[in-house]
Amino acid sequence: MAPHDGLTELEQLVMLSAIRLGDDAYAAEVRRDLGRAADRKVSAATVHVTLVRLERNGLLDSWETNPEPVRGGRSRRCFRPTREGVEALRRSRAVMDRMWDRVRGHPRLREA
Amino acid sequence: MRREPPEPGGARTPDRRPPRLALRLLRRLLPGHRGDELVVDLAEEYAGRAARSPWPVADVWYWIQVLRPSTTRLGRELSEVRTMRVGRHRVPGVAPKGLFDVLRYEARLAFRSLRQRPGFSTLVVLTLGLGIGANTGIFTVVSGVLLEPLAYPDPDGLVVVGLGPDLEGPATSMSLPDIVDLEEGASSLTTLVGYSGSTATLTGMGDPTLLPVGRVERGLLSTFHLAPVLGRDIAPGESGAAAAAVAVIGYEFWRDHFRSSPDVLGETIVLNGASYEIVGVAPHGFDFPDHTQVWYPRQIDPDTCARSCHTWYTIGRLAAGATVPGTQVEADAIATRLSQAFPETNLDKTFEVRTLQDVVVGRARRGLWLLLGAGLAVLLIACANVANLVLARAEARRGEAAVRAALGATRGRLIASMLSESTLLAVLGGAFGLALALGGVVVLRRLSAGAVPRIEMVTIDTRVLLFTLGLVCGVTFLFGLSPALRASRMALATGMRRSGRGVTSGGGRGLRRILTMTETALAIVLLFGAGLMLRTFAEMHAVDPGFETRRILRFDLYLPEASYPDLESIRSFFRTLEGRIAAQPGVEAVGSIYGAPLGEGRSSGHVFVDGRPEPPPGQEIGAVLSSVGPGYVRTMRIPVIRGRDLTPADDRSGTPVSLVNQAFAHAVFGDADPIGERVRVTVNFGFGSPYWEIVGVVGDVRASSLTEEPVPEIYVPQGQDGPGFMTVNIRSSRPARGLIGVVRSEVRRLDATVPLRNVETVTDAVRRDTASTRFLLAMLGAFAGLALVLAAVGLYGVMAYLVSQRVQEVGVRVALGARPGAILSLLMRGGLGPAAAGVGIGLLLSLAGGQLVEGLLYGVEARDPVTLGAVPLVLLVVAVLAVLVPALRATRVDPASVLRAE
Repeated sequence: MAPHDGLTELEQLVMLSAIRLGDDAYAAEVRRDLGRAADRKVSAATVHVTLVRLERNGLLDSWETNPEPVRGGRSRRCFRPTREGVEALRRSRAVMDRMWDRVRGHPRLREA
Repeated sequence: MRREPPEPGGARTPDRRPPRLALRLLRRLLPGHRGDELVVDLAEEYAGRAARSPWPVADVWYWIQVLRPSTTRLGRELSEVRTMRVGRHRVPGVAPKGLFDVLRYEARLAFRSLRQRPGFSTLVVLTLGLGIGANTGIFTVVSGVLLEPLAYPDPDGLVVVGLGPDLEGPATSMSLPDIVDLEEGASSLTTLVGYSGSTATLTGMGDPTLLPVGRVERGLLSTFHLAPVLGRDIAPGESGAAAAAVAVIGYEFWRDHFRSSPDVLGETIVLNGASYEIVGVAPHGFDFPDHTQVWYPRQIDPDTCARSCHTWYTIGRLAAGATVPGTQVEADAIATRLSQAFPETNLDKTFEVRTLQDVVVGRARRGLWLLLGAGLAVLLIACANVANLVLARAEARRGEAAVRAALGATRGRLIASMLSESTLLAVLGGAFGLALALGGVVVLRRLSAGAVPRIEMVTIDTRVLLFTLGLVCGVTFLFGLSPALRASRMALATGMRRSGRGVTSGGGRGLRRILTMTETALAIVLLFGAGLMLRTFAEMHAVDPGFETRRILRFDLYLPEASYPDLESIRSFFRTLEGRIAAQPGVEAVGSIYGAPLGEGRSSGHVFVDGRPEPPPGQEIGAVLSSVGPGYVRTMRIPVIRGRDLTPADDRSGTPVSLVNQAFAHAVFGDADPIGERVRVTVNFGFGSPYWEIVGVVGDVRASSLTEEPVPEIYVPQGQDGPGFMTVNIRSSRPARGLIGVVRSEVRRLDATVPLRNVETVTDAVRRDTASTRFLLAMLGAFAGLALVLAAVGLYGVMAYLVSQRVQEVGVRVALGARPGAILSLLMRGGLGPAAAGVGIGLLLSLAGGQLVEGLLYGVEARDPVTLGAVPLVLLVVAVLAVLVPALRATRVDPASVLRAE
């Protein structure tokens, strides 16, 4: 996927979650957040794949935290949307909004 | 920096660990630092689940997580990541671990790295492509001609028996009683059928045409394990004194002339004026021998020469389980028995059994294997060149290899990495070579027309593709493995220390010397072979054939017996035709002959002198009997040495006279004058007298081949004896081919039912005679030229590399006052040493392998001193030039700049 193509829904959710979580946006926390806020059960591997792909496409940046101050505590890789990432997210939303606008008041949607 | 899942007993660590096998699998799928993230996440979650649920639930869950497609996908994503940020640094991405992944990864790396060095890659691919292309091309011919079985059922069991020994040429003819005795006596032969190929004029079906026909002792089909598609084959009893007027026609003939009508049986065809009833149709594709389309029983006159007339060729079928050597043993025993029973005809007569394939391929075999060998030598030279290039490149990249080794790459991995580049180069070279071969085969077909039998069968098929694949694999290991092994060893041992300094290791120089030596030696062998062929060709062209070869047009005429039943009608036809053609502008002389030099049809028999006792059996003198028109000797500019030429007055009304050649005169009469002597020949054309008075001696001609010594020949006037088959020769003052149209119309004016055949110039016939030598010369010459160029490029490359490695040394020497001459000789010694050694080895190899080409040479010995002297000279001159250019450049080194660079 080229960096500026539209984002998939999962990618949008992951990016939105990363923005909300801020400095705590590491894979396991993103996954929990998706479960809580979006009612999405996603496997750990899927979250990792999505994060790595977004990073590879330059939409996320990542860094490693210092190890947690407990015995066996681990350092975690945290993610933060880049400027391009935020742009892409906005574009994806704009596309969705446009599509919704075009069907506003549509009888099918009223029935539903 | 791999972190283990949390240790038991830690603040957040539970007691249980994920299943070990699943964990290992997960690590394999997710290599490296980044993969650990998920490994640890899963381990944490596993711990939580294991604490909450009964035993196998968490384990099953863990396995599911490991086996999820998304886990594999993550592994792939991670291997795509070329650089990653760790803290503030960007580090190389993670290399994959599974075999398939490694291969894909290495292939991509190799491709990328070759694309970065287009010069190097192009040179290697071109070099390998030339080598592989040459081999694939030649192998295509070898495969189609030598390896492809004949297109008959069970071709291995088809044999030919001829009079031996004749190891290389086509099978010789046999006498019918001998054939019958062999078939009855040899248990390893199920059939042995006699036949003779010929041509006959077909009339009554549109324009008269000459057809190749088979006159057979009985039908050939059962021997070939075939059955007629319609009707029956010719029965054994149908040949003989009163041969039945029946014929079997070929499938194509049936299709073209009878529109494949099922009612063809019972129809008649007219051949040479005689009618034959069609009794059968041969299956599709059967045209043995020589594109024959009609077979009919051969008339056998029981009163004629029987065992002493060798006018039958044979085709036979081996019994199940029988072999050619076994059959040969039986044939030898029968030959011995016949020799005792019929000493007057069979003394010392031997039979030789050969497979049909062997006979068809004949002389071409040795030449083709030789060319394949030459092609492989070219490929080896190409490999040596490429190995040198790869070696130099590997040394230049020693630093890179050392870094990889330091980061934990194993030796196997480094070798794999270098080999994958070599493989990619070899594959590209193979593809280029295959493309070259595709074009080359077209050229080869044209070049080898007339020199190689079955050449029309030659195509690039699966066998050829497999051969090319084999070459690619072999080539990869030849040029890739040794440099890869060396470079990997170097990387592990010394790479880091020396990286960046232009010092070549002793081992590298040694390997390079061996490669240079090898390619020089191989180039010498090829040049030597080409040199011998060139000398052969020159010798052939220097041969005086004894007759005029330029500006002579000739063609064959076959007068059907039904319209020309006696000598007078034949004689008058040819005299009239000769007279009319001679009257054409530009024609200098016209003469006809039966038994034209380098042409078809020659009869030979024994010679007896009137008034002398007959020599005992086995000691007779043989001679070739030709029948010539009065202008023949003059037309062909054969010198009359003694006596007189034949004249139109030598006809039935006069004394039977003859001309003999010098070889005849010498063989029969020694130094005595043969003029006036009367000789008898055991063969005639059906009208001749028993004795011929010799009226003239003419010069020798090389009639069967330019490379064969003249044999005794006797020419009798066509007015006194001759067949209806003659070759008319026309000497012209203009290019001979211009006469073809006039000649055709003159023949048609005289008799529209007689077709012209084999219209050609004598120059064409000479070219045909030397075709196989020309083919071998062209091919070996091309290979030798290629070898020379490759060897020169190789030497140049090595020298340039060595010089570039010693620039600093040269700079220091110049600074210390060394003269350019001293520097030059120092550098050139280094380059020319291995070349000189290679020349020596190559000469030894050439001497040892000389006998391989012996049978293909003419007028030159396999250890020809001229070639032996010239070839090293050529190579050394090329080598000196190749070495001189980089060495000269080195002498112009500016010491100041070199020392500054230090």
